[in-house]
Order: sequence, then C-alpha cells, then structure tokens
Amino acid sequence: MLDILKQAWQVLSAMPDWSLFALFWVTILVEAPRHGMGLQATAMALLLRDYRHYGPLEPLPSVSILLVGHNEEDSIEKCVRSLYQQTFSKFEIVCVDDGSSDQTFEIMTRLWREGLVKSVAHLQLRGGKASAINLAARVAKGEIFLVIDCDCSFEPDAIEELLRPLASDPKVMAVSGNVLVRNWNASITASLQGIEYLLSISLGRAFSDALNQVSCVSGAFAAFRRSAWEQVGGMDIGSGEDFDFTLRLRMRGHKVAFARHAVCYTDVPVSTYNLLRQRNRWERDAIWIRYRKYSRLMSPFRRSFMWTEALHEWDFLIFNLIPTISFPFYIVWMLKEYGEYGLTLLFVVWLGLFIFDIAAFVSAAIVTGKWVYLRLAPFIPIFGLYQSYVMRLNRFYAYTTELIFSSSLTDNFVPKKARDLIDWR
Amino acid sequence: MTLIALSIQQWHSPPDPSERADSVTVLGLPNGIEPEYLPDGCVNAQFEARADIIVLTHPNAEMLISRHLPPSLAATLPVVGMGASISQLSLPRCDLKVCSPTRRALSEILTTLKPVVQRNRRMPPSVKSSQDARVLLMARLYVRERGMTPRRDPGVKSTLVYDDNAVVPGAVSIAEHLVNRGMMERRFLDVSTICPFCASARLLVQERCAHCGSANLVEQAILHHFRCGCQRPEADFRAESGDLICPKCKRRLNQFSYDYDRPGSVYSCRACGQISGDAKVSFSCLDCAAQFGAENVGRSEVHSYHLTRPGRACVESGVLLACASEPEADLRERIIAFKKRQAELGHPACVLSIRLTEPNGIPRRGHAWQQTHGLFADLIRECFVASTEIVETGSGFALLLAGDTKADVKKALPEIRHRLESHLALAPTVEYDAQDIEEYIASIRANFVHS
Repeated sequence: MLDILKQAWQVLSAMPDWSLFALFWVTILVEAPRHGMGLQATAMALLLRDYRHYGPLEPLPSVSILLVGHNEEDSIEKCVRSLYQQTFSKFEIVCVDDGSSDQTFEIMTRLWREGLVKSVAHLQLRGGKASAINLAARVAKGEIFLVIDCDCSFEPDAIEELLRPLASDPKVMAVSGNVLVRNWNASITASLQGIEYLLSISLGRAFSDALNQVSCVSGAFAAFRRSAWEQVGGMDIGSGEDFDFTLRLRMRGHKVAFARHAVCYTDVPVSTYNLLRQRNRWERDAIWIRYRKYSRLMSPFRRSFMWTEALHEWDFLIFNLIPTISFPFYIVWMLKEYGEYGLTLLFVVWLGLFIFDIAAFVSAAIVTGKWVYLRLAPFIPIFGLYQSYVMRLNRFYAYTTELIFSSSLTDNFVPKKARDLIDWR
Repeated sequence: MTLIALSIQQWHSPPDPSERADSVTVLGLPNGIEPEYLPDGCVNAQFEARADIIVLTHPNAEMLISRHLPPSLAATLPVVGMGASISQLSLPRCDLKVCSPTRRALSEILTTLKPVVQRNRRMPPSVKSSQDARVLLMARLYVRERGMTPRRDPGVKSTLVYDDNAVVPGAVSIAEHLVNRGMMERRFLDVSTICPFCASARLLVQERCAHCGSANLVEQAILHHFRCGCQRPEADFRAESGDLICPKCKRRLNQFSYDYDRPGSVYSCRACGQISGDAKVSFSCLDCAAQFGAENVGRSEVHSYHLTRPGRACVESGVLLACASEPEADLRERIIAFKKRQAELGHPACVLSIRLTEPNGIPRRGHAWQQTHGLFADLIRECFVASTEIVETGSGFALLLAGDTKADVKKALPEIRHRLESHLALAPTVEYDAQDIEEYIASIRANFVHS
C-alpha cells in the first residue's frame, strides 16, 4: 500500500499543475464539490442552529392520507394500523385499490368497516399509481394530502414532523419526508444503498432545502396542500410522477420543503440485478422529465425560464449528466495515456473519495440523528467504488438508452394503454 | 250441513258393521262426499270417531275440525282440501289439496295417504285419547312421518310459519321442550336477520352514505383519461353539452378504450357530496320503524324439529310423558344437586348471581350486545376455576361456587368486578349478588312466580 502511495506521489509531484487538473478534472469539478456539500449542510444545520422543533403543531386544516396500492395485500393493513400509532392522528385515510388481483380490496373494505379508513375505491383495471392517486385526491375531503407508500413504515412522529413546515409556513405547498433504508442489513447491496440514501436524501435534500432547491418530493412520503394540488391538476401519467409533480409545483412558484425529521423507512432491492433495474428506470425517468418534458426550463430564452429551476437543471447537467457520459471515456483515456500508472492514479482518486465519503457519512449521521446507521461504516471503503463504477456505469447505460431510444416509454411501470398516449416523446 | 255435534258416548260407540277393516273412512266437512266420487273401499264416516281422513270441501270448514273433533283426532287425522276454491288458499291444516272432487283424484289421495292412515290406526288408545299437547304434536309428526319444518310467510313478523302450530298451539315451544327431553331433535335450517328491538324479520335493507347516512346515493362510473392520468367520477367529465371533457387537460374524450376507460365505480352522496367506493348497508324495521346498522342487526336461527327414536317409541308404546316441569325447576334441581354434592364433601357453597343489563341505545338482540354477552361469558370462564358450574339464566349468569362462603365471595367482589369488566367496550350495567343456596332458590322461585 505504502509503495503504491509513494509511487503515486512521485508521479503526481513530477507533473505541472495544469496536468494535475487535466488528470483529475472529474474529481476536482464534480466529486469534490458534491461531497463537500454534505459538510456544508452539516455546518449549516449546526451553525445556523437548525435544531429540531418540538411542541404542538400550529393549527392545521384537515388532513387526508392517500393510500393507493396494486397487489398490496401483505402491507396495506399493517400500514393503516401503524398510521394510527402516530403522534398526529387527526386525519382521514382514503384508499384506492388500483386493479389488484389479490386480496387488497377486501382488506381495504374490512378496514373501512372497522372505521379505520374513511373511503375505499376499487378500480378493476390498473391505471398506474399517478391516476390512482388522482382519484384518491378527488375522493378525499382534507385540505392537506399525505401521499404514502403502503410498504413503508414510519417513526412515531413522522407525520407530525412532515406537517410542521406546512403548519408554520403558509407559503410551503409541498413537503418531502426523509426516506431511509429499513432493510439495510439484508445484503451488501442493501447496505450500500443504506449509505446512499443517507447521503443523497437525508444530507442532499437537507442541503437542497437550505437553498430552496428541493426538486423531488418523495412519492413514498410527502404532503401537499390541496390548493396547490388542484392548481397543477394532480399528478401526470408516467413513471417518475413524484419528480414530475414537484417540478410542476415549483414552476408555479410554490415553495417545496424537506422535513428531515419526518423519517420513513422503506425496503430497497436486495440483489444487485434488481437494484440496477430499479435505478435504470429512475435514471431514464430523470432524463425523460428534465430533457423531454421540461426542456424549456434550461433555456433563458424561453418565457417560462426561471432561475430557481435552471439552477437544479444545470446542477444535474454539470454534476450528473456530463460526468456520467464522459466517465467511461475518461477511464479509457487515463489507462491508455498512463498505462500501469493509470491504475495507481485511479487508486489515488479512490483514496481521495474515501476521505470525502467518511466526512459525508458522519455528517449525514449527525444531521439525521440516526446513529444506528454508523454500523454501515465498514462499507464506506467500497462505497466510492460502488458509486463511481457500478452506479455510474449503470447511469451511463440508462442515459444513453433513454437519449437514443426513449426506452422509458416502454417501461411497464405505467400500463400500456396509458403509456401509448403519453405526449412528450 | 250433516255434521252433528258428538257426545262423549259417541266416541266409544261400537264399530259400524258397514265399515270393513280394510276400508278407509272419509269424513267430509262440512258435507259428506257424494257417493259417486268415493272410490272402491272408501266409505263416508258415520261417526267422526271412525274417520281415517278428513276431506274439506269448503274453505271455512277448517275451523270445524277443532270444533267438532277431539284434540287427538284433530291433530293426527290427515286432512285433504278438495275443490277449486280451496286449492288457491293457504290452509295450514291441509296435508294435501286437489282441485276437483273426482273419483280418480280421491283414489290417488287414498293411495298416498294409506301409510298415514295405517300408522294412525296402529296408535295405542292412550295416545289417541291423550289431550297433552306434547303427545299430540309427537303423534301428529309420527303418523305423517315428517319433521316440523317452517315455511316463509311475509305476513307474519317472524316471516316463519310452522303449519303444525295451527293444529297444536305453541308447537315451537313444545318442540323445544321435547328437544330438552330427548324426544325430538333440532336441526339447523336457516338464519333470519331480525330487528334487535322487536325481533321482526320484516326488514328493509338500504344502501346509505357512510358519512351522513342519507339514502340519496347515486352510483357512477369512474373515468380514466389515459393521456393525462385524470381519474374521476363520470359527472366531473360530463359537460353541459353532454360530451365528456377532461376536467384536467380540457381535451374531449372521444373513443372508449382508446382515449379513456371505465375501471370501476363509486357511490356519490347527493346529500353531503361525499364520494366513496362502498355504501353502508342499513336496516329499517317495517314493524317498529327502528333503523340500525349491520353491526346491530339481530340473528335468529331457524330450525326444523324431528322425532328422535325415543320420541317414536313413546308414541308407538303409548307410555306417555311425565308432567312437564316448570322452567325454573331444572335450575332448582341442579342447584339442589350441587348443594348435596358439596354437603357430602363438607365444603361450603354459595351462588354468585350476575345480572347483565345492556347500555342505553344498544339493542338486546343486536349483534354488538350478543358479542359482548358472549365475551362476558368467556371472561367468567377465565376468571373462575374450571370446576365452577356456570348456569346461563335469562338475564345473566348463576355461578355455583364450591368451597366459598357468601362472605368470601362478597369480599372478593371488587376484584371479580375489575377482572370481568375491564375488557368490555360496551360498558353494560353489571349487578353482582352473592347468596346462600337457600336464598338463591327462594329468589328464583319468587322471580318465577312474579314473572
């Protein structure tokens, strides 16, 4: 190890400064600022005294929880009953069964008879999550909608914390919950995702929130004001509906917040294959929504241009799309140019990222206050490799197939009947 | 009208020489059967006591049976209704009906009823002369070789009619009594949904809004517009022109299954505007006008009653039943036996009487109260040792406690109360009374006399 480091130091010290930049531009321009943001968020959270607020909520209008499910017989009842264990329980629950072929509707009906659910609607044909949520919102009577995934579980005060920004700031129209990984100890893949969620959601969105740049309200756990919901006409068809919906809210000038103490837990894919498939879909959706549906947000020459929206669009372009597309070429170039030293230099890059990852990981644990995730520390050394090589190459595949073949349009997350009519090709 | 009121002497009059042993004697009411209609081997009865079959030729003649025949004959003789006017009516006493009084029809009836006639003739004199309603009911079922099965009749409150009740008044309670004596058995037939207030089964079932209770509901289709994902009730899409216009993207919905589909339906309440996928089922009693939800609806089992082997043997042998015991006698005998057992063992004994009263607004026959009552019974079983005899009384329970004196039980009452009542959601009024055995026997006797 020391020999490699010594060798690397000799190579690097022999280079002029501009060569160092040419060699490590991805790291200097992309990795360092992105990882540094975690530290900044932590500093902001601590130094700006962004402590957790306790005490009763300000008076709130009525709250409706929208639960939609397709074949959720295993989780729906558990979810409904767990909601009544929350510290905030003045809500109605509206359930929509989106064409399930199992016992989901029967269970929903039983819960309705028990008085736990206010309304139940049954769709015999599956129409997709977005349209099912739209129906639930039509049936619901509340002035605030909580959208919750049936297979999630929550901290006892999660709903109270999620509603707190809406209660305290009338300008806030949507709030995203903090989604963490429940099955983080199920496999190495799940553990790596545990770290990833901690960094990208808990830390990343806390930072985005500080900059008023929350561009995706998690579809698993979020709250919306009815007025804003109706103003944008509810959710649009297509996968990535939560991201799409958030962008439409932001385009109307609505404030979107992130409640980091509103913690919800979800299960992530345990096998690498399932993870890559899931991420493939997410990444394609991001490209589809950003560059096909809302490409106008990028251009200052369009009437609908807004600086606040351009910021996160450019952020994605600069820190995500360009590095991902250029990364394979960068690796090939480095190996070709420096031969065996190329591997040494890549090792140096990894070492640098490792230090960043440790700092960001500790920051995330401090920001969320979930010390149990410190048990994921042994996976930090491979987290950088996993992000840089596995996930980035998967992203590369997703971006190129989406940009060239519009492959998201064949995604069966949305039923074909609806997919075929999507406008934004 | 040829029927003559019969005196007691006539019942014991000698057999008419014109009646052969293998001939069947028909008693026509109100008039005898015309001789040309009588098939071979069939004669008009000269005395009612000799009749094998009663033939009613007029709808009102049914009442003549009980007026002019002794109870045993009225209960056991098969009755045939004959004539167009009778065949249209519901006459509970009639075993068979024929439209027209022809020789052939009567001949067929005789063939059908021959086994009944033969069993009737074989019955011992003690049964034939009995006036005990229990014996009459058993004899009636025995000769017909059938059970006592009800039919549905919306004209009565329970919607159930046991035709045998018209012949033997109180047939159902007599049958229940005979079930307890082992002479009859009860077989499950059906369930009636009944009003928890008045036990009427004449209920109106309605779908009502789950939120405001209004019956002003309309079911409407849900429309799903594929293009924008808008999914709402049809009324939201229906423009004034009658066209379907998407409320979200304002496009016209042109083609079913290409533009849009109808994946389900919802109920929309015209009174409160609430939309729900399901309506609440509510019941209205047509007799007492009470309204209640499915959770409070009463349930009543419908049974048929059949003679058991001992019951048949009782009728065939003519060894009649002992006098019917009073309802409280069984309980009293049980308690006395319990006292005797404990005295032999040298243990003290007492009775804890627990009376359960439903809270206001909770109907006694309703499902919710029945469940609470059942739970309370389970809690009693869990609260006391397994050897405790628990007797269900009309309004509660009597616990026969061995090894405890009245004073011991009174001392333990607060704990008993806590353990029994802490789990009950409906919070009934529960009264506890620890008594010596003699006191309890005296109290049940007094209650019975009072009731």
